[in-house]
Amino acid sequence: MTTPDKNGMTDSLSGHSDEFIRRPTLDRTDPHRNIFNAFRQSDGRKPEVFGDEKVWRSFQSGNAEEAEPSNGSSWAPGPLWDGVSESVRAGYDVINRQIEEGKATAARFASPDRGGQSQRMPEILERLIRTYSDIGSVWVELLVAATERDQPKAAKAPEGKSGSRDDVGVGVQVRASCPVTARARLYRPVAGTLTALPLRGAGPDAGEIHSVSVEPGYCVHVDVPSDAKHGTYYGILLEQGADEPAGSLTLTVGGD
Amino acid sequence: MSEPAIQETLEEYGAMTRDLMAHYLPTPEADHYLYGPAADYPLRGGKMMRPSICIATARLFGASLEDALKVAVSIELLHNALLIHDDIEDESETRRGQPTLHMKHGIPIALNVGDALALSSLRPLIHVFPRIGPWMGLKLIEDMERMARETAEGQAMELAWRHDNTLRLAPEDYLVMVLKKTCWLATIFPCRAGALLGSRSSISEDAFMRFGFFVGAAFQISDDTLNIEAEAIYGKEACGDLLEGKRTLMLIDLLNLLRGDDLHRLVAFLSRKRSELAEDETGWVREKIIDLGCLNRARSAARGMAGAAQHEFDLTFGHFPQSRDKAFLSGLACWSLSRSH
Repeated sequence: MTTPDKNGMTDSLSGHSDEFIRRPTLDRTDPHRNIFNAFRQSDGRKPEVFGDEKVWRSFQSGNAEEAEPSNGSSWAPGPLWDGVSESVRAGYDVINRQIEEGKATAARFASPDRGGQSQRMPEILERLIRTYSDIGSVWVELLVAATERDQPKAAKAPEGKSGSRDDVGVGVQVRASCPVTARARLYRPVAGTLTALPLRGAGPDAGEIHSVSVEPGYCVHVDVPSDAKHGTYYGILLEQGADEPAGSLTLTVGGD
Repeated sequence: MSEPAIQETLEEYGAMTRDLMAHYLPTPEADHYLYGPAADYPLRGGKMMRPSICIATARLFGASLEDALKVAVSIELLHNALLIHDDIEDESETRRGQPTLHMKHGIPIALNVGDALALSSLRPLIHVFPRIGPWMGLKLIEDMERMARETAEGQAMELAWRHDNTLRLAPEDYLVMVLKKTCWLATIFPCRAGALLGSRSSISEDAFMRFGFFVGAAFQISDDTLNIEAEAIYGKEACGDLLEGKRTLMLIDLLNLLRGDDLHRLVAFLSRKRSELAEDETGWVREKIIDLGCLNRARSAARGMAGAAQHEFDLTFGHFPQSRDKAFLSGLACWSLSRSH
């Protein structure tokens, strides 16, 4: 046996070709009916009477003594069906009925404004616009990927071990005993060593957080003291040798 | 295609599906309450008929194996999820030769694992969407939603019959239940999903329904007869269907055939809980099913379904050039009759 190829279309055993395959029109699409079925009811079904009527009535009334005696004429002794042909007939009845019911259900679940082709024109146009929009998005993604690939390595900061990471390329790792949200941002690509100044609170009586450091890989590490006041703290990130701040760090202690 | 060749295809496509499925299941050692038990049923094996049908149909219609495998994994994950829930609902004790998940871990954990597996089945589909586009992705999801709804409706029918101890059923009722509960997930949806992937266009609402139904019905009736015949070789417990009071074609037939005291005895058997059933009572029902010809008639019915499946196969797939996948799909119905487990 041949192992299927990755494309799933070209192995020798599959015999696939590039031709578009069309289903031929068939002379007959239904099975020949069994001649014995002609002696059944008009719809080809046996009478829907099952089992011992006397016993069934006793189950219905809850009292076997009250049950009417069965005269044997209202029920058909023997099995419910006699094998192959009848099972196939029953099978086709069931599946054809279910297909019709399925179509009705599908129509019920379909959007109420869905009608003929002319009524669906706005929907089709909307789909067309969405398709072009999707293609546009894919092109943008493609261009961004191509641009990123061509950028010098120094402009891309490597990932930190954990914590959040902003979209310019610096990670934040915070150790705290209470809920904290943090965000670091670089204003421009950084190539040299990064340092961080202590964080200061916004209010006049707000405290400071001094244990701020930048670890290799541009990951800012902050240890929030357990007695730090709730509120928002700000800090500056500096690049050694540069004259202006390289970025900022915002930390909110407590709150949501 | 011969039975060994069908088996070989099942094993090959099944192995590919299992390999990819492992990527979607976290390491079994991860924990004992979710991901460990979640990998349990998939690791036990199984026939892998559902994913194989999907892959074969997809390849026949020209889809890539990569896309087909992802959808096949999704189907298999959902199937395993439903098996866990079915085992709880049926109070089954063994599955594929081992204790059922709820017997090993308890019902709450098993239920949660089933939920997790069902939701995990979306992940491979999400991965295939960027390749097939949003419109085809939507079609696939729409079909999957229909399959899930039909499967739940079929299960509800069977549960209702047992809950209400329904006695007067016709073979047609059984076939409707099988169509919904078994065929949609086992055969109809795998075929339709494969064709959607390959054709990259909409397919009609009734496409593959007749073929899928007859293959699935032949498979299910055959499964029911095996449950009555088999002893230890069968993956599930022997006569488990009788213990669970399942309304199989044979039981419906028997309910029609029995008279007087025997009918009273059978109705009393069906009205009892599983834990209250004596072994000799189950043996008596089994004997009656065999002695009164219900087993043989069910086998005949399965053969009829397999024949109809072959007829529908010719209508649906006959115009395709000969290939291994075509031969596999063509031989499925007969294979379902000849298998021993």
